[in-house]
Amino acid sequence: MSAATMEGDGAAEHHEEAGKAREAFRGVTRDVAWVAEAPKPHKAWLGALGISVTMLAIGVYSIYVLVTTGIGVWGNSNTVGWAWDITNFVWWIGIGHAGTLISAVLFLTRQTWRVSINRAAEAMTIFAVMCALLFPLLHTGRPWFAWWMIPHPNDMGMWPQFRSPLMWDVFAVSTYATTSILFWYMGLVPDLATFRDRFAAKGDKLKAIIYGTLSLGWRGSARQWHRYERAYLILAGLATPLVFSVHSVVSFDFATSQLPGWHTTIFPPYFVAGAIFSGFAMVLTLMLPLRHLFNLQHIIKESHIEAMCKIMLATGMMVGLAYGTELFIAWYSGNLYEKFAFANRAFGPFWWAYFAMVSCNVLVPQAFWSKKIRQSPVIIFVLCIFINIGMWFERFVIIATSLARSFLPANWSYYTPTRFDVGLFVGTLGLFFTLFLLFFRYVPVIAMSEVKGAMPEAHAGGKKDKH
Amino acid sequence: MSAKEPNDDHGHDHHDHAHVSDQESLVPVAPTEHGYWKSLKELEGQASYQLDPAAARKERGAPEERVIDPMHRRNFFQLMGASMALAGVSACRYEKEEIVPLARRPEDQTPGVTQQYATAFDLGGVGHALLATSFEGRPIKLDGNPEHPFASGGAVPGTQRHAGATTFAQAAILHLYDPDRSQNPAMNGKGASIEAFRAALPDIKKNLATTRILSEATSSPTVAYLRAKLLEANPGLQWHEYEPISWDNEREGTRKAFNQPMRPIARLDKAETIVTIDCDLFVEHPAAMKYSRDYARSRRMNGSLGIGKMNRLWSVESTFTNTGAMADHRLALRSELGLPFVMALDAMLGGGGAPNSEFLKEKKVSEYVKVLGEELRANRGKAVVVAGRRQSADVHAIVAKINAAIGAPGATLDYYVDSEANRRPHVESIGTLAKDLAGGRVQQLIILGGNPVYDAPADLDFAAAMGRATTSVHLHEYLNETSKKASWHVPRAHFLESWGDARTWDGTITVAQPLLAPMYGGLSSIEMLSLLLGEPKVGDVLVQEAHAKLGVTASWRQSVHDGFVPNTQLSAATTAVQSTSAPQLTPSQLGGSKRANGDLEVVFHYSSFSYDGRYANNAWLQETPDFLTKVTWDNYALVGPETATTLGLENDTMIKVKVEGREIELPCYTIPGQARFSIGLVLGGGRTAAGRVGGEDDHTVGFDTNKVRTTAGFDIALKATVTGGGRKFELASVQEHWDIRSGIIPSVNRDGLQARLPELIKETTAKTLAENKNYQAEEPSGFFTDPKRAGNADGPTRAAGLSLFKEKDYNGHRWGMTIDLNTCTGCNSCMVACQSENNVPVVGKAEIFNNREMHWIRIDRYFKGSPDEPQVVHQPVGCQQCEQAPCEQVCPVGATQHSDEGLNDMSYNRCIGTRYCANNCPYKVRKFNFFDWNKDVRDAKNRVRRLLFNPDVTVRSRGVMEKCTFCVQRIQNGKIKAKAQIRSGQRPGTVQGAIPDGEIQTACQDACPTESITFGDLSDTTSRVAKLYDDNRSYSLLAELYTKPRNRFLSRVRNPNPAMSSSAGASAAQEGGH
Repeated sequence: MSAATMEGDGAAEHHEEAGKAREAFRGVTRDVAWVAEAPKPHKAWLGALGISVTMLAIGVYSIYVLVTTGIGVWGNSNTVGWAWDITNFVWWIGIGHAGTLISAVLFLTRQTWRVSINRAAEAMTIFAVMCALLFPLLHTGRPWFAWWMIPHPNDMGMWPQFRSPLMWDVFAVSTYATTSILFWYMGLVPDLATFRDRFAAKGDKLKAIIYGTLSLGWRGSARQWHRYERAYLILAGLATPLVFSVHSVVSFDFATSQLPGWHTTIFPPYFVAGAIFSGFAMVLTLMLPLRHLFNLQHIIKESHIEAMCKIMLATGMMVGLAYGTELFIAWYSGNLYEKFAFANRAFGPFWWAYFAMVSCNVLVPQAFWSKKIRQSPVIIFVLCIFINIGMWFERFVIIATSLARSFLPANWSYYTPTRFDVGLFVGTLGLFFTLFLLFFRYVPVIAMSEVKGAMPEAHAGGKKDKH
Repeated sequence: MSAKEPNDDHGHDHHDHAHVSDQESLVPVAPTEHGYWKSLKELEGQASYQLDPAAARKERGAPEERVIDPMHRRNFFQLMGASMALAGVSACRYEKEEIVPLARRPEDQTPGVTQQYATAFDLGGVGHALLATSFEGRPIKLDGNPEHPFASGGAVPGTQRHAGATTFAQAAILHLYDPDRSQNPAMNGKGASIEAFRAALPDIKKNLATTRILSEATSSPTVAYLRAKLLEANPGLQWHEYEPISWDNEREGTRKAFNQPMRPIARLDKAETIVTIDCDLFVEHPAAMKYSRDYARSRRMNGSLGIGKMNRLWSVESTFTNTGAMADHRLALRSELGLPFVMALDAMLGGGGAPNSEFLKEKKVSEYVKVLGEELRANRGKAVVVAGRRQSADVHAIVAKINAAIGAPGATLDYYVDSEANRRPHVESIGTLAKDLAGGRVQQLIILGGNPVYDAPADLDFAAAMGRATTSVHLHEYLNETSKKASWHVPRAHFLESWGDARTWDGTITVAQPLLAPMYGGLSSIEMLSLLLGEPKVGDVLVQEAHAKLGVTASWRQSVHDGFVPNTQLSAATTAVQSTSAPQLTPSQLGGSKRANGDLEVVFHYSSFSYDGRYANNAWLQETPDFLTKVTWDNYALVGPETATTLGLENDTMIKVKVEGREIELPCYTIPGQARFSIGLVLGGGRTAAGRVGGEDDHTVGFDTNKVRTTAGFDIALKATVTGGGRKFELASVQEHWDIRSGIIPSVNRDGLQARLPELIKETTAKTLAENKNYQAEEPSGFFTDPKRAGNADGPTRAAGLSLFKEKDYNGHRWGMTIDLNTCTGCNSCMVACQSENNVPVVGKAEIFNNREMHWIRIDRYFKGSPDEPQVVHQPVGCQQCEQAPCEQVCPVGATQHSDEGLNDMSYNRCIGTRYCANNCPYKVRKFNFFDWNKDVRDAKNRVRRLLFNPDVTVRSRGVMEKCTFCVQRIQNGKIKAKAQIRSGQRPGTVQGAIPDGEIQTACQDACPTESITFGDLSDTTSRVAKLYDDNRSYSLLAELYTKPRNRFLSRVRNPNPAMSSSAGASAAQEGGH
């Protein structure tokens, strides 16, 4: 039974509660909508936007130099063909995964606590995928021909090569992006209609028209709710396998190659666990400050944060198990090159990256065993930053250290990033935060209709929601 | 003219034009008479142009770039017209030659088809026979001349007629199109015209009696002829000759031994034991190409020594050379200890007295001397000892004695009488000259080639001495350090622009014919001499005159066509060795192998980047990694690990080397195998007037080691002091340094490397091969039954294929290659050949640091064993042309595909540059265009370089991947040729049929002096490559990955003397198991 349906029928069935419930629902709407309705944005918001846009500008400049000069502006070499470019790609894609997990998987498994964060998490997914998509495009030597990866009939008979995992990536990621956008937008429609109504009531015609157009003529009728519920369920069903498939496919880029350190069957589950791990870390990194700044503590409750910490603890341990398994298999295989690849990871010239990875991803989440820490937003925030760093290093370790020391020792080399590598990464962070801040100011950041559905007032007898 | 002489007015035109434009943009020139013209009007004497270049440009309204563009369309037609007009206009060039307009196509020229002409060049007084490939009038490639009796050594049954070429010879083509070449005469450093020089000539000629001529060493009979004429006509004129890298010690040593200078040339194909004393047979030696080939022939188990026999190489040297790297037993010994070492050997064999040196008592050395001596004694008539150019005359005299004692002369060694018995040694000659100059006894100095201001011994202070002459004339291709000090600089024509001749090391007269008219004007040395003689003549007339004088009767046309005059070797001699008095040993020669700082030896080496500095402006050579250090774009001091630790020297830091009060600072490179307490200094860096590539005043490449090279310590300097602790200076190495640090990180690397080395470089011993008939370099992997037949539809493999992908059938040609690691000396010839053939770009030092070098074939070098006595192996790695290519299945756009003939093809047009293929290539042979590497060629100033591009190979743009193609353009040309011949009935067979084995050769194969690379069609089971595939030494790299490479290696074979206990060779006996 979906939460929104409850809201539709709730008022009629429980007259005595109706007034109270309506007041509670109004409170939610007020609490969420004030951000968009405030005539002047919050100072912190303005400051953050300024920083983000500056970062974005650095990224735009880096892209300009990259496209006009060549991949040579990066630190990549003939030995290390991929480095920050694909590291960043995988990292961003991974971050997106928490959003899909929260909106789809937790929806299907009736985890009602998801409603407080699903909107923002989905937005995060979309923005992360946008950042991620930049890299496969820009890492090509001739990005203006990247469209050749898209199958299209042409009189030269050129066709993509479907044995390449990069082609699988193209389909996996584009499907993921499409589904995520649809899902997110679908969920937004009732809330956009709420905004439309509120702005119309205030007499702000322009905004009313904009939100009106975006809400696609939503009137909140029972029939609309019914269809909405069905569509939402179908999309959730569609998105659920993507949580597992997209990052599995991304991991095939490595797993199907034959480079020691890449050629590992453990990659699909390991990458998915890592993606969820980093995704939740990023959700918390974003939500904790916003929750504090915009007084959403009563919507994004401590229990929600605790649940997320537990998920991070679980996935972090899965990732740790994967690290251990990799080492064990490398040793157990007796394969010369495999053994070296992992010895080199830990004790080779990139040892610092490996230890950054292990300590951030395996040791840091152990803190979440403690309930005290799970309830302390500041510590969680700091730990989440570490997890994000650790997960970035995980991809870097896999990609760069494996390439730097492959089969023939004559090719061994080292990798050092250039300012354009850093610049582009900073630029994607800028893009992400810029989009997120704009989202926060202009779009209902919390799924009001869903929250209302999950509130005790929406339930028969006003039973307390467990969460 | 014979059919193969150049007749290419077409080519002339382009180049004349390039030259004309530069005249305009650089210096005003007097119109007409001088051979330079700016327009047809001027050419016909109707108008003389305004000389202000800006005005001229304005008048013509052409943008600057266009003026310089040699190939600009409008100018091209203008010149086409001009060349026709030239026939009727007299005296418009410096020497007039017959020029035929291209109104009709020249008889033997087909547009788009290359032609080959025999020519030659002289390097350090030694001629090298070359074959130049010319495309529509522009030479694009240089190879060895396979027809030449010395260069090719004649055909051996079952092999192709084949001549390798050194890196220097091949890279000389780049100089032809070097925009930095001198294009105008200069007077006192200012641009001048050739007219002005001609005007000054009478004065110069008047003073010839008080003139000295300093020539670089040259083997040219024509120069010798003109010299004799000149000296005869001008009493008082003196001739000096100087060469910074010279074999004079060998001359003087043989003079000691035989009372006349001789030239020993070993017959390595006959020798079972070869001993080198501080000598590099394969690159540095004047007969290197012959030696490489002959060595390889006796190195093969079924080679020139007969079935089952192979030679054994013993090397005693201070610094690793290509020869030492090949040696079965190498002894790292300070160079100055060469003398006591050969004396000890002589004591065993020739009856001389044994020296009482401390180091000879060290176990390693005493055993080496003992076992070697016994082997030499046992191999009488089948052994030879060769001493290097650095070793003193005494050493060469004793080596002559040892060779006599072991019966080498006539069997494994020939002596030839040096044709110029009276020539003074180079160092002595330039010493006298410098003294006379300083003493004011020389009024005029004429320098033909060379760069004494840069490379003369430092104690002579040649620059200052030269300034004492009233007039000095310097003829050189470049405006170099010496030109800048001279009162006159005259540009010299490149050897591909002028007639000349040279003698190869055996004396065979080798004719050098031009392939195009001088692009920038310029005189050749012989033309300059004929001007001084007052009877200016065209180059070929001079050469013919000289040959007539020498009594050559062979047809001139035939000689030009073949590139040599047959039967003109030096005369052989059979003089017996005169008894020599035992030389005195110095205290350091009597001591042990440990020395204190201040008593170190410094040994000067040629540079693989620039020879003695003369090739500094050659970007190909600068970027070809040194065979051992793999360093590019710099020279350095070589220090052994133990010495480095003792003296506190660190890799990649600046150290100070002090010799006789002179000091230089240069980077230190610690290299295993360097003799203890011997410092190797590489020559040829620090040029200040080489050009934009090789160094100018404001930026130099490398370090000028000539600053510590003096008359006394010309080859080996003693009593040197080295201090470390300088600033960091990183050398651009294409492979990682030998890490001498201790700790977990270096040890993980070292262990990882050592563990996989036996997998990558298979080794065995001659003994194993002889005894174990079942030896297979490649273990049966279980993946597929017969690796050699893999992919052949007829073979049994397919049934066993465990591949996920459908195995491909190959019904036509199946191209394959083998590389014999047993004969590869790591000489880099293949790398330069590939660069030249395939338009491979140069990336520069900064990008080498970024691991972005573009070489399609690289030579991996690995060390094995202890740092003190390491073994070195070379492994040339190009694209392995895998049948199950990992690169192919990961390309999202299918830019790399498999051909029906088994080649892994690359379509640059389709490539979008994801670099996934490079990541998935286990051999890392794919090279990515990180930038537009050819950008500088589009720069107006460098456009002339575009003439060098091979038109059959695409010039790659930025953002695409490239790699070795097995020279697919040569394969296609070979197929077209075969088809055409079959269709026209010149050859029986079918159009689809096999192409005769050896008809298609890859560029690397062509250049390889040891014939280590074999290419051919595997579907032709009689082809050499198919047979080598079946050889029991054949293996593929990383076979377990099931990539099924079409390139296979033949394992290295070591041939240690069983009597040696600890030596490197014995440890190689860990083979067998494979």
